[in-house]
Amino acid sequence: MIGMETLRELKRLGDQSAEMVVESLAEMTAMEVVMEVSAVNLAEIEQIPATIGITDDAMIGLFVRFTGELPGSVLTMLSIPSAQKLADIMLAGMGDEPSDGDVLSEMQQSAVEEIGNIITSSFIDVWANEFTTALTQTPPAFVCDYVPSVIDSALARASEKGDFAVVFNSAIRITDQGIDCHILVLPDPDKMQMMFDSME
Amino acid sequence: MLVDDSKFMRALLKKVMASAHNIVGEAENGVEAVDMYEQLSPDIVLMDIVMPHMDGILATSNIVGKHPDAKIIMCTSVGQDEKVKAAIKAGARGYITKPFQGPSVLKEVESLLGQ
Repeated sequence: MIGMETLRELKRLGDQSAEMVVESLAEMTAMEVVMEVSAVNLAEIEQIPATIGITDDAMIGLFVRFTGELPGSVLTMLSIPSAQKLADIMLAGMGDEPSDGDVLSEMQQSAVEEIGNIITSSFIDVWANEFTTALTQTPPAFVCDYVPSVIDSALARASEKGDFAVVFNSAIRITDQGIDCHILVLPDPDKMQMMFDSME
Repeated sequence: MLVDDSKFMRALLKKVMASAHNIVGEAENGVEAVDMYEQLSPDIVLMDIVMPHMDGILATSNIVGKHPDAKIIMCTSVGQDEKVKAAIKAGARGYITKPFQGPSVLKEVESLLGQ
């Protein structure tokens, strides 16, 4: 059972992490980045897309699993145009053209995956340092699919899958370019409660 | 020598380093890095941490175990205090967190090469 105090603490840590993501993205793109949403919810799995308010037909998802004393998953989601624009900013002329039928070229996909990597690190570094522990993350897994499938695919890779999930949701916008990025952090609920209990 | 599973990061680091240094080899994971170090004996290694098959901390430990003078700088998105300590314990001589600015990477490399 997840307590209110745990959710409040998760919100505090999530806010710190989201601020780090904003700083990292601003440094990577040299553009103004703002955080539009920073919220924690206990949501039914099926309701996650509605809870976070994204209904685009297809999106790019970058899934990273992290393990250690406080395990969980981070899913970074971008619309296809946002991913294309962000990749081109990051590549600054180093890019190549996508093959027929692909939404991103190999180099564009690699740049977007690196963004997922840096975003995830921003989140879990704050948590690891707070609990004086080490969390080990996997390289990002790339998926391009309909939003419910992206989320389902992410949850299927997580070790614990129940009817509900604790979801920390951040929505970040690179204002000049109209690039939107949604970050879902899904800590494994049981382990998370144990870690927060140990803080008290 | 560059060690990173990301094609984009390797291209970016190559661009940063190209003005002053030759890249003698590129590895995509820790296993490749350990083998490549044996073959190339590079002056310096820029090593990612999060990689498939073998992470950068274990690869660093393996390389430094055989070559105590190896000059390895971690170049990673991971900024956790415990991971930094583990990397230093494994034998890393420097630690750069992504996102980075090109001049800061060059400065770190020059500083270590001068030691």
